[in-house]
Amino acid sequence: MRRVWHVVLCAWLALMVAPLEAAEAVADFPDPLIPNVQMPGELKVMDAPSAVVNITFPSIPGMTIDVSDGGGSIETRVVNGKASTIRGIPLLITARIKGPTVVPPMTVRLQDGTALMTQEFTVQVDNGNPHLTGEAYAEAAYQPAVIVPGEATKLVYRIYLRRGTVEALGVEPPAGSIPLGQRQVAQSRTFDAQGRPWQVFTITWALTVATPGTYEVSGQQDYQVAVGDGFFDTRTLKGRVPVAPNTLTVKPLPSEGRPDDFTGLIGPLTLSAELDRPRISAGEGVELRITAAGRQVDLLKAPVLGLSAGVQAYPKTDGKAPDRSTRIFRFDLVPGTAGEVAVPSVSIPYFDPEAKVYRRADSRALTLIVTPGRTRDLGLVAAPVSSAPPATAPLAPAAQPGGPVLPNATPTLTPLPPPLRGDAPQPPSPRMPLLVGLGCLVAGGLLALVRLLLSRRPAAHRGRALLTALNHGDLDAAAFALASLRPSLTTEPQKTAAVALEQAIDRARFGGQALADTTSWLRELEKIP
Amino acid sequence: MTNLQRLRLFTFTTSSVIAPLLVCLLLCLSSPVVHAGTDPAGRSSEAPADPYTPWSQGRPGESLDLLLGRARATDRWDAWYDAGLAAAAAGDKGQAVSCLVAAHRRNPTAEEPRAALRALDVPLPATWVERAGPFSIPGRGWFGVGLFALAGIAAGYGALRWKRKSLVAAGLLLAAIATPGVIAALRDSEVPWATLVHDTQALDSTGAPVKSLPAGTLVRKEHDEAWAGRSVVRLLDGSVVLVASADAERQ
Repeated sequence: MRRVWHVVLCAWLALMVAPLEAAEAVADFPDPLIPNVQMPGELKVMDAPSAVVNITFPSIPGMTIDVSDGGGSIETRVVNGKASTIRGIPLLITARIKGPTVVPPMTVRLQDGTALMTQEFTVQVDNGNPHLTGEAYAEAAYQPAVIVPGEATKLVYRIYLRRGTVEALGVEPPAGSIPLGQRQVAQSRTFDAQGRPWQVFTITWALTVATPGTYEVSGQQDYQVAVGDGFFDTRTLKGRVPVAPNTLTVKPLPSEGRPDDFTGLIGPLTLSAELDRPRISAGEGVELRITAAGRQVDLLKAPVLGLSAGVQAYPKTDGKAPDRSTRIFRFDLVPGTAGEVAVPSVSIPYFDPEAKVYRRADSRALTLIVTPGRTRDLGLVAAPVSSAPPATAPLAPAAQPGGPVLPNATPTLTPLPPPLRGDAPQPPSPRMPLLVGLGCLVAGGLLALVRLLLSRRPAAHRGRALLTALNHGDLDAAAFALASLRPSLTTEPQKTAAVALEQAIDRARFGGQALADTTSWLRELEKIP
Repeated sequence: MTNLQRLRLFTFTTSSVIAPLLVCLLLCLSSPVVHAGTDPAGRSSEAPADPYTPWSQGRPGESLDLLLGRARATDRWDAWYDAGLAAAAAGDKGQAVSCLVAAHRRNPTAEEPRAALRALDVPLPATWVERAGPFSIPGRGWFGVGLFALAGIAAGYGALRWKRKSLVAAGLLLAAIATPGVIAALRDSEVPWATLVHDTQALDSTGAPVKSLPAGTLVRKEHDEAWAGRSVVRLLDGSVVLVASADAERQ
């Protein structure tokens, strides 16, 4: 019977202790705490087996903690089918001494007699951000702000909001910058000098720049705030703040000490070389692997090997690199004769942005031992090159007698046509028809315009034309001019003079008489336009 | 002949001379520049007599440099074409594709570069000239230039002499006939094809290799400028990647 009671007692104790093991108390303090400002905090009691009865705050020099009268909150979360309850107890914290302050554990006593303890933690007491006034503030900064071309930097853009949200960013990385990754976005909370909480959105771009100069980032940040009391009385107010600008200075790479073979690579860079076998037989090949490790290794070209004349180097495709900052160049080395083959060091210059100097990355010089071994006559397996076009030669200009002959070592599946040898007609530039059409359009228009203007030229002065014709003795022209004057004769003396002059001209033209004195008639007629 | 008649004759003669002169000026401006050191036929006077000789003797690699030099000096499409064939014969597929694409860009209506690219297993996507089919024939080459010249003169003259509506209609008709071929050739010549002349890696925006690209791969340059030695290109499968600018050549 006693044994049964022991089992029941143990079970009861287990039931009592089990929920207590899952319970937890966490203090959530603002960071930083603003000196001499009463700031809100919260004590979160999670999955407490019973109600909270009492909280014992530790004695902290320069800091006062009280329970707020605002009432608590209860939140229930369900994660993976497991429900947990979080009871929030509002606190009011007042700190008076700047600097880091250690907050000892706080004791939360529950109704069932058990107690929960918070963890000891350190909180910073410091002034708030003095820039935070009004509703919003935005600033951009480069970290670091001075680089050389190709060196990485970060553009950190912070948007501080007293309340509200942002939908679009007010700044972007400057034109000409090169992104080095996706932008990072983080959200946090900070406090102004009065201890009021602000939201902080931090957007970080990793970037670099290829051209020296200054790159300023600035702009305007839009934000919006929802105001109103109820669902039907909610309005959105839009605001805008200028972004505190910042400048990135990209200094040119120094010319002093720049190696002649420098190709703009920014370090750090390390090189290593290895052979897959240190000893081979003559006629065999060995793989040389040159491993480059650095930030810009993808810009590297295959290094030039300074091998002796008897060694052939055949570049291969890059080896599989373990990460993106590593590149492996591979070569097949085929020594022609036995002996010791020196594989010299490979040296690549780069600029060290930390020390602002040029350095060289050198691989280790290697020695390959070639022992005498089997050889084979390659001439037995290679077809002789013929000077005549093969009948079915790939790429060979067979249709053109005497055309180029291609070596048999370059097989191609489909025959290529023969070369044109510069005999093909040269077409006009693709833009030429449009330009010519446009030019001719203008020329045709000009031609039409000139003819149009000439056809509208004002008539000559008929009176003076008559006078000129008579002075020159051109009676035909005088008769033509007089006829053209007829419609404009308005007065009787003009008409009389015209009739008399016409008769005189006709007598002179057709009657063979001398032209009479026309002075008086011309005086009447010469002024008619 | 009166003064008025003389003036009319003078202006008509002057206008008739100005129009062809203007056309000739435009022709000169739009024709390829012939550099110093070239003969009237466009061949380099400094080049050996026959750059095809080494190729005929089975050494296309030696002809390649000579043919490339000639192509760069003359900028003729057939010179680029021959250089591409020599590069293909020498086994340099990247250079071959690059030269053949250069030939295609300089003469989009020619079938030879496209056929050679198909033979190298690097077919060009359907060009505008191919899409236009027979509609592009009237606008091709010098015939298209002539059609546009006639169309321009007729339309320009008829537009201001409005009584000659038939002239305007004829000009518009000629232009409509020639336009498909001209526009197709123009669009084909402006496609920013580039060729990978070395085996290289396609990189993403973080610089991480995405996949290997063999020499001779045809890509489209998305931007003319390069960033940190890399160019943004679009592969034929539609994906956009970065490659080392030194590996992507556009002749």
